[in-house]
Amino acid sequence: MNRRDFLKFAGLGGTALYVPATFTLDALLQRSWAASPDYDAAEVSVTAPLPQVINIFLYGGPSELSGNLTQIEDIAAASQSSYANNIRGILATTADDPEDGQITPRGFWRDAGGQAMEFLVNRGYMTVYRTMVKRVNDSRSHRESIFQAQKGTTDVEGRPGIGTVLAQLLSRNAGQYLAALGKGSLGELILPFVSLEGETTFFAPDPGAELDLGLRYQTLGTDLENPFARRMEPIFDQLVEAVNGTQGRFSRVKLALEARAQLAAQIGDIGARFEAPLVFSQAAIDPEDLAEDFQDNGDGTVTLQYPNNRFAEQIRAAVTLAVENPDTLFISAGNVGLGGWDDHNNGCDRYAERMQDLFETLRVACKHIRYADGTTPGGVARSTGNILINVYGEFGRRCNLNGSCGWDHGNLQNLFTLMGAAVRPAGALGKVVGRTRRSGTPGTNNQVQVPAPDSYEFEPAAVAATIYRAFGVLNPEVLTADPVLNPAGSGPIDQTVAGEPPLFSA
Amino acid sequence: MLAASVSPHPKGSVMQRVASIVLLAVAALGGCDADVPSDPAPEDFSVPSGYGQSLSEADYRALDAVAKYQVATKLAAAVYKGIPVQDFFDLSRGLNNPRTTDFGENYYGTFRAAVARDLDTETVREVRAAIYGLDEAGNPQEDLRKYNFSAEARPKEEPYALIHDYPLSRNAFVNAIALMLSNTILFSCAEEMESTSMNDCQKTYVYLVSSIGAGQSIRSIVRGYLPSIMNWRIGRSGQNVGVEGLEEFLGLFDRAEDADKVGVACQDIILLPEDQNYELSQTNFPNTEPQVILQEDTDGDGVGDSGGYYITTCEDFYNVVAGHPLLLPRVCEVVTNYYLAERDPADRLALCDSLIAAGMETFEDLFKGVIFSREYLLGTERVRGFDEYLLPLLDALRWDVRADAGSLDERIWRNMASNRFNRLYMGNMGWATMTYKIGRLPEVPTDPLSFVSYHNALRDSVFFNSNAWAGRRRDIDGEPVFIDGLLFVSDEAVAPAADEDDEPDAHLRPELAALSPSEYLDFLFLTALQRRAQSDEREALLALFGPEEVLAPDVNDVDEDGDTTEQVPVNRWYWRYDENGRPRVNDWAWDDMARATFDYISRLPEAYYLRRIGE
Repeated sequence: MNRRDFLKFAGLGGTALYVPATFTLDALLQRSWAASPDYDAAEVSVTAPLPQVINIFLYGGPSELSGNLTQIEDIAAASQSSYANNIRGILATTADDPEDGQITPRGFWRDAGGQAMEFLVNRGYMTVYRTMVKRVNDSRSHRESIFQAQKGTTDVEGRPGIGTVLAQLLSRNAGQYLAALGKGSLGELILPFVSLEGETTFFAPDPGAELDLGLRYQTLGTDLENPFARRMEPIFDQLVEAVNGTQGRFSRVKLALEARAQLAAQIGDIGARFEAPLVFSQAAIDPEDLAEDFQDNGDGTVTLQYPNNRFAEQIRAAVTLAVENPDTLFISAGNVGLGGWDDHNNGCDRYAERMQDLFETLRVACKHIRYADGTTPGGVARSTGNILINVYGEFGRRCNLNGSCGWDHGNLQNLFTLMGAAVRPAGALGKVVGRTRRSGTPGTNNQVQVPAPDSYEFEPAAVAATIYRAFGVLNPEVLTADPVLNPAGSGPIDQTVAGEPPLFSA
Repeated sequence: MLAASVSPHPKGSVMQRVASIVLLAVAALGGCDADVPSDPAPEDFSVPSGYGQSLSEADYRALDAVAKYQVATKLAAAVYKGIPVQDFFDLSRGLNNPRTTDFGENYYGTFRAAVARDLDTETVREVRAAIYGLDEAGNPQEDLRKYNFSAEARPKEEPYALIHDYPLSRNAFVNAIALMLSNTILFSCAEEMESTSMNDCQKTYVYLVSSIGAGQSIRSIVRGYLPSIMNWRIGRSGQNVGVEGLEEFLGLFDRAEDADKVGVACQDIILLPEDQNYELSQTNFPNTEPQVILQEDTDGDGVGDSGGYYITTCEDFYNVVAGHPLLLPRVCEVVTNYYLAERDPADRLALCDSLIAAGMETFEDLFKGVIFSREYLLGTERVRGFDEYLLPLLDALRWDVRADAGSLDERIWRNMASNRFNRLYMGNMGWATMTYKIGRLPEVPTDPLSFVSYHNALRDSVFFNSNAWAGRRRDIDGEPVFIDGLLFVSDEAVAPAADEDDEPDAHLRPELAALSPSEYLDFLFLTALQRRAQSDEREALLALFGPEEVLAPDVNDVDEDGDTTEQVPVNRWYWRYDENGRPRVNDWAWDDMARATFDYISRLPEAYYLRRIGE
C-alpha cells in the first residue's frame, strides 16, 4: 500500500483495519503536509497582460465522444450495446446524411455540441485537444481524479488547488505581478480569485502557507448580486472584533465573516457594471458571428443573448465577471456534485443534450469576450484578449456502450480551450489536436480510446502547468511535480502542435 | 444460503473466513420475518472505557450549570432538539449564579432513556394527524394541516416536520439517524441526478426509518439497500454499482479491475433509459462464470494474487459487501467525519476502533456510541449545519408554527428544504438535503457565499423575526388566539401585561419578570449562544441598551460595507432604573432587547459552533 492509499484508508476514505502496524498516521500525515509545492523553486518572469482564466469543470467526467467521433466505426463494431440502434445517425457523416448524420467535418458529434464546436474552431475561438490522458496515476475514482485535475498534480493529499497556487505566486512575487497589473499593492485587487460553484478543490488551501484575506478566494452567486451588505448596528461589529480578539477559536467562521465584510465593500464598488445589458454596435460585429445569438434592436445596435439553459447562468456570470472586472484572475465554475457528467446510463439521450447546451453557451461566451474588447458593456476600457476559458473534467469514459446505454469511467478526455489569444503563442487556437484509437477486447466493457502511437498527448496536470506558464512561471514542472510518481513534473501543453486535418470538407 | 454462493478463493485468507462468518449472520438477519415484532426497547449501547468511552451521568453532574447546558444542547442537537433556558435553569434564583432545575440536572440520563423508548401509538397517531391534517375519521382535511408542504418535494421536507414534532423518543432518534444518513454518501438519494426521482428519496428515507426502527443490523440494512432501485439509479451500470459499492461501503478506492468483474457478475441487471422511466430490468441470462474480486496484492506488482472472493452474480457481490470486515469501520468513518469534523483523522479512527470493539452492530449503536462519547460531548468543537442549528433554536425560542410569521410559518420545512427563493433554503448554503450524490460535505461549507446565506437566514428570518417566537396574538378563523412564546404568554393570572394597548392578552412570562437587565442579557445569551455574556459584552451592551446616551455609529448613515465615520448620541432606553434605583427592563422593551441582542450574537463566529466544553 503506498502513501496515497494509506491516507485514503486512514483518514480521508479509509478504515482502521488497513493501517499497517509499521506506519504511524502522524508520520504519514506529516509527510503529506511536507509535500506542498516548492514555490521558491518557481522561476517567475511576468509580462503583461496577465491571463484571466475561467475554468469550467465538468464534474462526473464527460465522454470524449462529443468532440471525437473519429473512431466511432471501430468503437461501434466492438461495443456491447449497439450505437447504431441507440443513437440515430451516429455512424454517418453530415455530408452523407445531412438530416441525421452525426459526424461533422472535424469529427465532432453534431447533436452533442458538434455544430457549435465546428463554429468555434473555424472562427479561431477554440482548440480541442483530444488526447489528455492519465498515465502517471490512472485512478478512475472520482475523488482522486477530481483532486488531481483541480490541484494540478498526482500528489493530492495536503496539496493546494490550482487557484491557491496562483494566489501564492502572486503573494510571493508581488512586485512583478503588480507591475503587470498596474496596481500599487495587492490590497487594491478586487476579487482576484472567485468560485461560482461554492467550495471547490481548485481553491483548496495550502496547509503550510496562509494567504492574506484579499488573496483568498471568494464565492459569488451567479446573479453577481451583493448578498453581503449588512447595514444595521455597526457598533456590534466593533464589539465582535474585541471579543474575537480574546478567542483563539472558531477560525473557519471568523474567516467567512471577515470575507463577508470585504465582499460587501468590493461588490458594492463594482456591482453596477455586472448588470449592464450586452448591447453592441451592429457594425462592429463580424457577419459570421452576427448570424446567431444576437437580437437586432433596430437602432443600429444588437443585443447578445445567452441561451436559456442549465449552463448559461453560470457561464454568463463568469464571463461578465472577467470582462467587467480585470482584477479577477481565476474563476472556477462547474456543476457541484457528481451527477452532472457521470453518464453511466445517459449516453443515448441526456449526454448529447447537455453537450449541446454547453457549447451553444460557450459560443455566446466567446462572442461576449470578443465584442467587449475596447469598451465593455459595463463601460470599462480594456482589451479582453487575455480572457481564456478551459473546459474539462476529472476523466473521460470508456467507449463501450454498456447495457444501460452509458459509459463507465475511462481515462482519456478532451480539453476544450477557448479564447485568450493575447496570452497564447501564435497559432494556438482554431485547431483539433491529437489522434486516438480504440483499445480493449471487443465485446467487453473495458474498452477505451487511447492516444494513437504517434499522437501528441499530455497529462491533466499539464493544464495547471499551462496556466502557471501563462502567469509567468518559466518552470511550472516544479509546481506539478509528484515526488513519488512524477518527480520531474508535468510541463505545459505545447500549444504550437499542428492540428489534424478535417475528415471531410464541410 | 447466502454464504454458500460466495465461495472463498482457494488461496483463502483470514479476512475471508471472517467474512463468511459474518455472512451467515447477515443471512440470518436478512431472513427475519417482517411480521415478527422487534424488541421495542433495545439495550442501550454504551462504551465503558477506551477512546470512545461514553460520558457517565456522574461526569455530567460534575459539570457546572452552564457546561451542563452546553453538553445537553449538543446532545439534543443530535436529534435536532433544543432546550428552553427556563426549563433548564431555575430562573427564580436569577442567572448571576445559574442553578439547574431538576430537569436540567437529570437531562443526560433523561435523554438516554428517552431515545431508547418508542412512543405509544396514540402519540404517534397525533403527530401523524397533525402533519397530514387528519380529521377524527382519519380523512385528510386541508384546513387541519399543521404545515404546508410542496407537492413536488415533500419527501425532503416532511422528515424535518416529523423530527420536530415527535417528542424526544426513539421515534425522533431513528428519524434523525435516517435523515443524517440520507445526507451522506452512503444513502443519499442524490436528487440532483437525472436518473433519480423524489420518490427515491421517499423510499430511501422510509427504508432507513423502518429498518433502523426494527433493530436491523448495519450489515442487514446495507444488504437490503444495495439491490434496490434507489441504489441502482445512482450507480446505473453494473460496473459502477461495483465501483461505488466498494468505495462507499468499504472505503476501497481505485478497484477498477474488481469493479469490472462486478460488472460481469451484474450483467443481467440493467437500468433502463429515461424514456422507460429508469426502471430496473433483468434479463434471463445471468453470468455463470465465477469472478474473483478483492484479491490482495502480496508481491506489490499491482496485481491481486492472494485471497479474494468468488462472485458469480450481483447477489454474491451484495453479500460480499454486506459481510465484509471493512463495512463497519467504513460506515463508522463516514458518520464520524460529520460528528467529529474538524477533529484530527486519527481521533475519528480511534473512536471507530473503540465503538467496533464495544460491539457496535446497529446504526443506533453507532450513533449512540458517537453522541454519548466523552470525545464528542466534551472534546469536539465544530460548525453546526444550518438544520442542526435552526431546529434546536426553534425549540429554545419556544417557536410555534401557529404564530405564522415570515419564513417560519407553515411553509417552514419547504422553505428550508426546497424553496430556493426563500432565505432559509439550505441549498444556498451548500447544505441542501437529500440532494448531492456524494452527500453533504462533512465540514459545513464556510465559503463566503454559502456562509453569508447561513448567516442571513439566521439573522433576518429567525432572530429579527420576533413575531415567530416572542409570543403573539393572532386571529385564527376569526377567533383571537394567543400563541405562547419565549417572552410572552396568554395566561391572565401571570405578571403585568407587557403592552396593554396593543396586546391585551400578552403577559410577560413570570419567570422573566424578576430578571435584572444584566440577567436578562444572560438569558438571551444562553438561549442563542449557550453561554453567559462576557464582562466586556455585558458592559458595552447594557450601556448601549440603557437610559444613558452613548456615542455610537449612526445607523442611518452607513455605506454598503457597514462603515461610517459619524458617531451620534444613542439612547435605546431598553432598561431604566426604577423608583428604588434598581435596573429594570422596560415593559415595552423585552422583545426589542432580545432582537438587538440576538443580532449581536448572530455576528459572533462562535454562535455557529457546537462548542468544546471547558474553554
